[in-house]
Amino acid sequence: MLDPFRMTVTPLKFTAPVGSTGQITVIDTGTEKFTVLSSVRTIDRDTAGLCKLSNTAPSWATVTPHSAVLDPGGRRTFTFHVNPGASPGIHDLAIIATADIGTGAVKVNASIGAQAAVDVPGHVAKGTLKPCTTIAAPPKPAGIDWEPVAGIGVIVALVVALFVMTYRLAHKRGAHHG
Amino acid sequence: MRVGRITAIIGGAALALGLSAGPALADNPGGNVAASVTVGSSLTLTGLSPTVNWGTVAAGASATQTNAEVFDVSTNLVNGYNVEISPNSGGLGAIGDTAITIIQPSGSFAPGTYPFIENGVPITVGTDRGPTADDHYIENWQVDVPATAAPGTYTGNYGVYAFAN
Repeated sequence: MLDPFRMTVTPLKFTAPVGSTGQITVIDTGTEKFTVLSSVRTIDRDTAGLCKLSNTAPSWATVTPHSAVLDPGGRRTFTFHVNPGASPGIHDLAIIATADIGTGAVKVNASIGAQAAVDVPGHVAKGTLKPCTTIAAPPKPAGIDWEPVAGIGVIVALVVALFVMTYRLAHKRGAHHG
Repeated sequence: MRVGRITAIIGGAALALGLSAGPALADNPGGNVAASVTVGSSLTLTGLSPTVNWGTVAAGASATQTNAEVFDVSTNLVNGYNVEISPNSGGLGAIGDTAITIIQPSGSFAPGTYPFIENGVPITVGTDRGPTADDHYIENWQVDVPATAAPGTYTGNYGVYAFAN
């Protein structure tokens, strides 16, 4: 049974250097249309050290478009931009898609947030860096694919061995005849 | 003459090697089909109610809307997700967000009582540290109207936020 409201967001994790962009896709997987509003919020640690959404939005990160209407089965891609202006350190952001479904006096909307970790180079005071998101380690450089190299090496070794054996045999015969 | 013989032997060896390597280099000898699929991370929120309505409540009294919000969260994230309830604008005007308590009864994912501690500050009502097909949330929303609340209709705007861990 399909639900009237059902929203899916993908993907959900980013490492976003300054100057980069990223994209999330919002999909209406329910049976009713809704309007999606996009926004960016910071993720902070509360007094207990737990990571939580804040109500603040960084001035240096934006997401476009600001809104889109999704029909059932429809999808829309939103692009977020990490502009210069952030202080050095790792900044945790939530790229948020809000389904503007709220009605009545006390409205309740539904939101899904993708995480973006923004690593800004520069001096950071020791002990102040407690990121909520995990920054992926830089990918290891691609190693050499040894399989074809080994195959070629074996062929070359065999040819060389044959050459040496043939040369010695011919040399021995030549000496014998001489 | 000798050089020619050597060349012929090497050529024959190379040819033999080439022939023996032939089947390994041939395209798709067994009719196999290479298949791959890329699965991206995703998170889905299902079935929220768009409104909470306590009706008319006397000053100094409490009211609870049972099953005010019932929803499911699913994700394939290895580290799971968090759900927060966040006031999006001045919650319930002069009454304030701190008058509201979210109660997740037994049968709900993460059962417990979650009051708004501070006006404008989100509260966490659920955390799952791994992938899940459907975490089912049942929420009763309670409001404690201050005895000094002036007559009138108070409005608010809240958001249920599910985000990656």
